[in-house]
Amino acid sequence: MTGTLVNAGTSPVAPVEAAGSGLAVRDLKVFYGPVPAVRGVSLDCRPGEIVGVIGANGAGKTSLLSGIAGLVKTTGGSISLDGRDITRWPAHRRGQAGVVMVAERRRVFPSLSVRENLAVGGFGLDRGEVDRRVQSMLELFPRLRERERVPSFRLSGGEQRMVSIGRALVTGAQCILFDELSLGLAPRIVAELTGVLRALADEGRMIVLVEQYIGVLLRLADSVHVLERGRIRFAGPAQESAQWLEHHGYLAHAGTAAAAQEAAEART
Amino acid sequence: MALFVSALIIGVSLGTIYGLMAFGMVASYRISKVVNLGQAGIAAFGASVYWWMSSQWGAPLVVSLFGGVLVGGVLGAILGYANLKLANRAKGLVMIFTLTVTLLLFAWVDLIIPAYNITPPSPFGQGGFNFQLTFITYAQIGTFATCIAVVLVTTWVMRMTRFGMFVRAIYDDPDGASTVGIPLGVYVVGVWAVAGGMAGLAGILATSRVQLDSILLLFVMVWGLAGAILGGLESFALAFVGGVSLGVAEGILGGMLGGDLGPGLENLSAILIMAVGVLYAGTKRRHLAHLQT
Amino acid sequence: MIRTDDAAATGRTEGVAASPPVTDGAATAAALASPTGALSAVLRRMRVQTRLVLPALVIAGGTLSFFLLPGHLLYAGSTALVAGIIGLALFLPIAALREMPLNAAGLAGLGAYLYANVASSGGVGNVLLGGLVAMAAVTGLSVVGGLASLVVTGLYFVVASLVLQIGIEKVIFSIPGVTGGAAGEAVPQPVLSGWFDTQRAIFLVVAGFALVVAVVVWAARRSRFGYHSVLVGHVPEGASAVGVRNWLVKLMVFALSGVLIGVAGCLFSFINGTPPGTQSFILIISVLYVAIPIASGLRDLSSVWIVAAAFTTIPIVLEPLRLSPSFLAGMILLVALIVGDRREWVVEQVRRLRNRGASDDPIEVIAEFHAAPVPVAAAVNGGATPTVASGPSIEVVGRRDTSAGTVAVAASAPAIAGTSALEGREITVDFGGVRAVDAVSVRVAPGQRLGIVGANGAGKTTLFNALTGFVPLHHGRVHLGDRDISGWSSFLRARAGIRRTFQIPRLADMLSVEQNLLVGHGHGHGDAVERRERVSTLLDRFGLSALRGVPVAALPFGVRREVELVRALTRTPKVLMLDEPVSGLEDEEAEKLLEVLLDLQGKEGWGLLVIEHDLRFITQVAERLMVMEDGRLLVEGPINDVMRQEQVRRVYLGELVTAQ
Repeated sequence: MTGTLVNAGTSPVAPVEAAGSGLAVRDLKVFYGPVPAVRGVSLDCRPGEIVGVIGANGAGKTSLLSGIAGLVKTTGGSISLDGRDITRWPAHRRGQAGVVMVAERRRVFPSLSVRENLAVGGFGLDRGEVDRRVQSMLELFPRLRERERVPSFRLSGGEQRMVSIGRALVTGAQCILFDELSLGLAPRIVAELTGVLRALADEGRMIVLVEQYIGVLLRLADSVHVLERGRIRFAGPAQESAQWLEHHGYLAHAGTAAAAQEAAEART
Repeated sequence: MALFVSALIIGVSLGTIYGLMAFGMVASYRISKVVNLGQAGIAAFGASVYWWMSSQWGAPLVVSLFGGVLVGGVLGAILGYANLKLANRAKGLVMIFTLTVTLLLFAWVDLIIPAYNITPPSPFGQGGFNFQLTFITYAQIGTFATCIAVVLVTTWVMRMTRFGMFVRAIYDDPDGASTVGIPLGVYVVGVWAVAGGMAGLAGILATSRVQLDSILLLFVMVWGLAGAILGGLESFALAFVGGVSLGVAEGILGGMLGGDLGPGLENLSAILIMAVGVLYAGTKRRHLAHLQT
Repeated sequence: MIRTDDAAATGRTEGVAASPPVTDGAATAAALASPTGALSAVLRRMRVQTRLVLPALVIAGGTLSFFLLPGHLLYAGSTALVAGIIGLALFLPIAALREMPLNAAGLAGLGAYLYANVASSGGVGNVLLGGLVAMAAVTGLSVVGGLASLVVTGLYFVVASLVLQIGIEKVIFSIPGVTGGAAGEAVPQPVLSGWFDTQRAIFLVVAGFALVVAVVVWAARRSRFGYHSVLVGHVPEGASAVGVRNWLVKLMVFALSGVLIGVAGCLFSFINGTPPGTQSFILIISVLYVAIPIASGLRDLSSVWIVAAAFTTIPIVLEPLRLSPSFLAGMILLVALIVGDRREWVVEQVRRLRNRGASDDPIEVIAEFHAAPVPVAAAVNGGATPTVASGPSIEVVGRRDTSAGTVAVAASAPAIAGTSALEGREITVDFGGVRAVDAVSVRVAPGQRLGIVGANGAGKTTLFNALTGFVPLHHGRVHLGDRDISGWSSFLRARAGIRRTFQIPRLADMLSVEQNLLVGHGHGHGDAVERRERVSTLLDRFGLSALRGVPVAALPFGVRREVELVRALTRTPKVLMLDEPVSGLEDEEAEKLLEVLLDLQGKEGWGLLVIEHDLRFITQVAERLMVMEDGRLLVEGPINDVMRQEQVRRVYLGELVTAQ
């Protein structure tokens, strides 16, 4: 499974090994008019690392990711990738540099077929290379292969999720921003996707994962950030985060916390 | 019956011009969510370039036709670029800006066209043939065929090429498209250029039927917009069909009943269709509702 | 965006202290105590007068034109005034309702021709009758056009109004009896010679009408009707939520607009002697009329006259150049666009000029308001007067003293009518085949506090919308007490006492806090005074009194939430429904809101229904909790029991994925 990933992800931008300091976000602020969504968030993500961000609805998770991907205007702070300041870059330039966002739920191009959706990720590549990468995605997600020509609005939620992840991988992204990986998906699919995510990180990609569901996050993330009303309330390794979350009412029972910690440790 | 057929043919060839206009407006609306009212000005300017090249320079009609369309495309691209620069303004303001461009282009056309009542030569030549009892001009056939061909080619490009695929991706989800590295700006300019070319062509086809008159083209655009709105500014097929059916309604009522009902009333049916269509489409498509002033 | 940082605010403390807050009256004596205070008082008095500069300029311009201009230019002046009347007629639909009608020229033309047809018979009676006929017809047609705004909005409304314009242009104008007959007919004009000649007399008449129109529009804008129309145009749901009948307000705006355009149409015929040709009433001219209020910045009525004067006189001045009418129209529109687009900048420059030396910038007042060190506990408990110690900011701080408010609200609260519980039975809502809410029953009786939690898309807000009448029910009933209110419109439910807030506050941004609070169903029926009192005690209670006069647009998000909450409480509700009341609020703000809310609820005894994700807030506010998932009610019960349940942790806190 992971073998195909390496093939698919040959970066058009920079080889993974050469990656410098990774993604660094400093004091990022996002406002919608007067409405504050993100009020100064800093986080780092190094190659091979999965950074988890957790928070309730409206805590600013999606706005944070959109800010990093350049899809919303940031009102303050800075973002750098491998030492380059990308704060003022437009979204497509960040995409070409390898910062790609996988938006929550059904963010495929609904009228495009599965194959076309994946091929859109190959913008700027030659046709043969695109075909090769699309092919490897269809191998990675076998259930997409049988639905290759189907308009993607007909797909189930899980399949759409796979399409949007596949599309990001076809670009050869080095830094993938996942918004709500598990939202609306059956546990079995979530388990499948977490495996893919782990493999991606092990290849040296940077992954920022935003989740409302703590279990998924503690299972996957190397470090956890807790976002409350647009600010980071806690940042630390996944193992430590379980106690903090319990203490602050995110986990109702000691049992849950123990299970969470177990999950976090089991992974490492 | 013969009267009906000839009215129908007039309506259809008129309607395909509206449809072409509607097609261009949907294309530019979908990529930048701006109603492109510059189309009328571009049409007038393209038509005047065509007239200038064919009648003043004596260039062959086909060359002049391409000249007019090309100039339309260039103007469309400039308008698209300006639209990019105004991207963070309210869409309603940008729409009014495109209307301004139309008025200024009209003014320019008034400058270079010496007098009223100029009818550019039809690119399809004079004359026609009798089909049973109805006389059909080559211009009508040519207009119909050209518009259909342009629509088919555009549809093919959108369906089958990578360019078309990227455009459709942007239509579906601009954020998703830009995050995988597609530069939206280039595509916006490209699509507006194509829409401009269509406007130029529509202008040439419309003015060679009647006369080179900018107000006439303003109405061609308004009916085109009505057609586009009937399709919710989203569907190319519905927009084209909407434009054609408005033309047919106008042609049939104008041709068959105009004399009996008194002047002006031939427009009534088209106006009513448009009113009903707008109200219907407007209740269906709430997302277009928030036009900021 | 809004400078709330302490450093900036405290740095400016002295300046703010010297200048009284935006509320009028009060504090002048205190301010006069210091030299800077005296200066600022003088400046302040001047500021009041600078507000009158533009109107004074317009009136002076009109008067000077009347006395000095030669006849043919005075004719241009009359035309400008008529164009200005049309500009004002379009002001309300565009600025308040945010709908852009493209039929003003057609309507004015209709008025002109109808007037000419009747008035040409001569005699005062016919002139009056012609005016009435024209105004009635134009008003009627304008209302018909306005009907479209009940069904469609935005771009669709623009096109619908354009259809009306084309209809008038192509159908009505082509009936020979209307235009052909009228165009040649002479409309009675005063025949005078000497200095006070015909043109001067016409100008005087037109100016008289213009003055009346200006006063009417000015008064309408500042009336409750004006505020309602702004609310309806900007936040229609917010208007319904306070009991405003949206459709009626819209139609009234179009009726008023029609009356004014009718007046303008008659005047067109009057100043020309005969009605102008149909070329003066085509689509492009409609666009230019719309450009007048847009170019004037949609803010200031006086500038409409200036823009109208520019629009009409420039073409006349440039006539010798033989420019194309399209060119003129295009340039005018372009200028209108640039000016309209830069209006914020222009307004800012003007304000700077006015405020030189002293600050009554609402933003700074707010910065100060936030910097004021008021311990939350003290304010809420209504304990000892809160920290007056912070010296110069005493004015602002003093207004945050909430102790007085507590008592007043409690005393003035009318008793809640017996058993008026809000009850939804088996509520089911479909959106195009997707079931958003599926047979959810909910009941909240007076005095009860019920919380609703659930993930995004669980159907919480849709349930709110179904209860308040903002979405149609597919199945199920809604009762208030013994009354079945399932079929009631949202504004009727609001009037019946079901008050709500929205996730994003639906307030009219350009209106002040106080204006926002005084809109809505209720006063005018004799309880105006009582309502005003309640509003001011509530403002005190929430510590917002200092912000009364500040436009909502200048407020930070958290304060907007509070203002919306106060608005929902301006009439004592039976049930108060809050949709995520503390999201986007700072911790301290949330604490304060919680305290005040619980206190008021306890005293006044209404039912409370709250959607909220914030765990701490919901556990403190709710007695019972509903958990929703995928449109269904998962569990409902006393909050402590519910929080312990397995499904709740799954929905709310997340599930550990252990399956492999």
